[in-house]
Amino acid sequence: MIQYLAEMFSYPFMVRALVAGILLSLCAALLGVSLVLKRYSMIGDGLSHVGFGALAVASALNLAPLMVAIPVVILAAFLLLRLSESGKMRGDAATAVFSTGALAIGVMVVSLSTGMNSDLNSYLFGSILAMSKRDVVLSVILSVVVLSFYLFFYEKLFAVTFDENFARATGIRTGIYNSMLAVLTAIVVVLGMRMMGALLISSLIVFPALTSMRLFKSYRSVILSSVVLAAVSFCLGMCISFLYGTPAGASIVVVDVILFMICAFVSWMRER
Amino acid sequence: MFCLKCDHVSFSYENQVVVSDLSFTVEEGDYLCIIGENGTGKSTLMKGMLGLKKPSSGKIILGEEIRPSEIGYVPQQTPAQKDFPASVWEVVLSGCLNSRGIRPGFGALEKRLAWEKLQLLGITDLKEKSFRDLSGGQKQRVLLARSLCAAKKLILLDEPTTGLDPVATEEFYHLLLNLNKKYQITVIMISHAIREAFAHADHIMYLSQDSYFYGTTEEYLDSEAGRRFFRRCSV
Amino acid sequence: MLAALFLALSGCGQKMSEEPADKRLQIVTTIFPPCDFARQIGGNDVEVTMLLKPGMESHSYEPTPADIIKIMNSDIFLYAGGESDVWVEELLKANDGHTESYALLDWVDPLEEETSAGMQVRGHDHIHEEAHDHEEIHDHDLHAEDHAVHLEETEYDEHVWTSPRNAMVIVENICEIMSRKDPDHAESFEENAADYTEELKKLDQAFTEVVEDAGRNTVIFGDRFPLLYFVKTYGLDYYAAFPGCSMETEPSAATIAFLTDKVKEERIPVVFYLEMSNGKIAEAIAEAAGARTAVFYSGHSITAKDLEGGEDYLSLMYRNVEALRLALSE
Repeated sequence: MIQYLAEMFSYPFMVRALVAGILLSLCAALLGVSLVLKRYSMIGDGLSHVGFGALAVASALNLAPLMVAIPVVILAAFLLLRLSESGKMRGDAATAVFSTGALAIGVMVVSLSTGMNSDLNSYLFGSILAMSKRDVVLSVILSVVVLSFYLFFYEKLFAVTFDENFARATGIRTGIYNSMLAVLTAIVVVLGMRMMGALLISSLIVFPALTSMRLFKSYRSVILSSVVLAAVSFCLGMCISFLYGTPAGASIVVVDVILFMICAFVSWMRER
Repeated sequence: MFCLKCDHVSFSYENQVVVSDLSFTVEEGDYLCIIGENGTGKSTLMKGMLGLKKPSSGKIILGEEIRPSEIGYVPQQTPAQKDFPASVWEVVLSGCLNSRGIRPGFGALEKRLAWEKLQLLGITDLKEKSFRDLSGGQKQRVLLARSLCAAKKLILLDEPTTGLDPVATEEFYHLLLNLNKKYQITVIMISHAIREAFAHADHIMYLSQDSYFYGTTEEYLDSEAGRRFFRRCSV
Repeated sequence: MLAALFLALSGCGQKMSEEPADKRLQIVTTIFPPCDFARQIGGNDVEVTMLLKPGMESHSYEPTPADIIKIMNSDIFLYAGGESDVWVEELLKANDGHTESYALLDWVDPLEEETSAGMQVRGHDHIHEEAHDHEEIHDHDLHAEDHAVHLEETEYDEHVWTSPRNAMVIVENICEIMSRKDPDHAESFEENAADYTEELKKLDQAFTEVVEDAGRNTVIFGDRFPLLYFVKTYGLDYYAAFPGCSMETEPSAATIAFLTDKVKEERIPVVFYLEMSNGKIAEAIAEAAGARTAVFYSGHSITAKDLEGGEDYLSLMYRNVEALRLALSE
């Protein structure tokens, strides 16, 4: 079996999927900590549905998918944050509106144009073949940005996540940090959903954070643990997918779920 | 030396005037308690003092040596914080952010400052504990320590004893009094804990729908409004 | 909107039903080849409508109520036959109209669906069940290949038109029906059909020559494989990622491994993918094995661009001739 796994690396498309995928998982996990703690866990789901709608429209109009999807999803991320900040609509309601609305528009556009084809199918469920060389480059760039963002602004992000009111009072421009979070999340979602699938990408964002929060007590350990968990679940999931021919996205999420249950169990045992 | 002055200040919230034409001065070393029914603009006023909200008219002027980011602030706890994984140390240190500017990380200076505040409030043994595992009273002390890291001379507290049991409440108020008297820290606090407020504060601001009162505690207790309010609250 | 208008003009598009008094023979087809054939035979004397929109994938086609009405209002209805057209049988049972319906599958010798070595056969469409594997068994057992559950009835591959020789039979049948339904124009129908059949003969000749002159006789498809009749007609071996009507889109590693090894082993220069497929599987195989990819048209459907550009069965098949020539070269 080891030999079979080693063979995995002999296929260029697998190598691309592994590289891009692991980088995106790490970004998603980092962003996920802030998003989950700010009670925005559903944002990944909402944005991925918007992404699907955007990709469907791009596909129907024969435009470059990323060129359309990235700006649209960034816009949606901003709107979502704005709406819940202004209090006009609560965060979860806004997400529901966007999420289902965009999905429905996507399906309508698809049916009016060419009908469901394999491309759109793979947007929903992900495709391991979807990562091109350009995607790898984009993922690398994105990871560098997200990582630098997190390293450089670590303390400020903590303050903004833990207590936005206090952070603002001490002079931190919380609006900018929130916007950066929104933009980076949007890009991670669009890049990642082609491999993981629109229906599953949000789990890359929330699972590592949720699992780590079960076990760890300080913010720093939660962040470190999330990153490690993301890498582990991604690699394990990819191996399973390669060995058993299961879809990559679903395999990774199953590993995530198992890890979550293990950690929840451990934490429950600890409390007794 | 005044700490903070409000000059004919009005605030509106969603196009409704919430606070109108307030004028008062808070001197250094004062202990001001803001009371009043819900919806009378107390939180809005406090946000204005912090520079988080602009007054619709009038001016808020801070004392010479105080910048808005140097005001300590103990906001109401958010639901998200109940479950937040953060060590006490991380929380308190985050109060030192205002002196870091764009630089990442915390230096020895900030760490020493944070440690001092932990000592000041007697919570050094909680340093590595997770914030979410603390009792209500302990959490408030931690948040108070955080605000002291940010503050030079002035701290603002928004209903800091909500949800605390009577013992914890009293302990907290003693802490505050100590800070005020011994360390000369000016305290402005929104509170519903009337008994303690009147016992410790030397100034009272009372906000109602259409008017306000600002004066020393004795003055307030002597006034019509004060006596009515006090009677209503003490039952 | 503009595209729809254009397509209406080119004959195989969706029509707005605006001409209730059209006295011409109304022919409705599900897929592209019979639409094209009917058009070639009938010219302007018939009105042919294709239900499958250009650019649409045939296997995810769902008839809308409007489509059903079109069928019921037509004189002749042509469909492929086989499992993806089960709905047709049900529709026809429920209605007696004046519509004469024919499945192309009924007109030729049907071939049973089969799987070749290395094909990924799990996760088949629930309508499909496995046929027996008719190919020889290889020495090493690849776990991509399943000896799956068998049904009593065998399934037939419905992509009969991929062989030009079958196309000739189909054209003959269509002409006969059209002539019977519209005797006034029978003469011109027969003339057109004869001309068209000549063209098809030339096409058949072209393919035969290419295969004869070829340096190899194996084709590799990094995709589904609806070309069973084609390869059987010209005696070609084939390996593909999925069988004919598979709904799968994600290949397993074993499938890619097998196909990549095959390409490397036999130094095959080209890996094929189908029209309207995203070609990713073929690309992955080609990249790993050092080959190129090329499109091979099954003709099942047609893209809007091609249709507007005046492409038809013949022109698409001639593209295949060239592609095949390169694929079979040394």
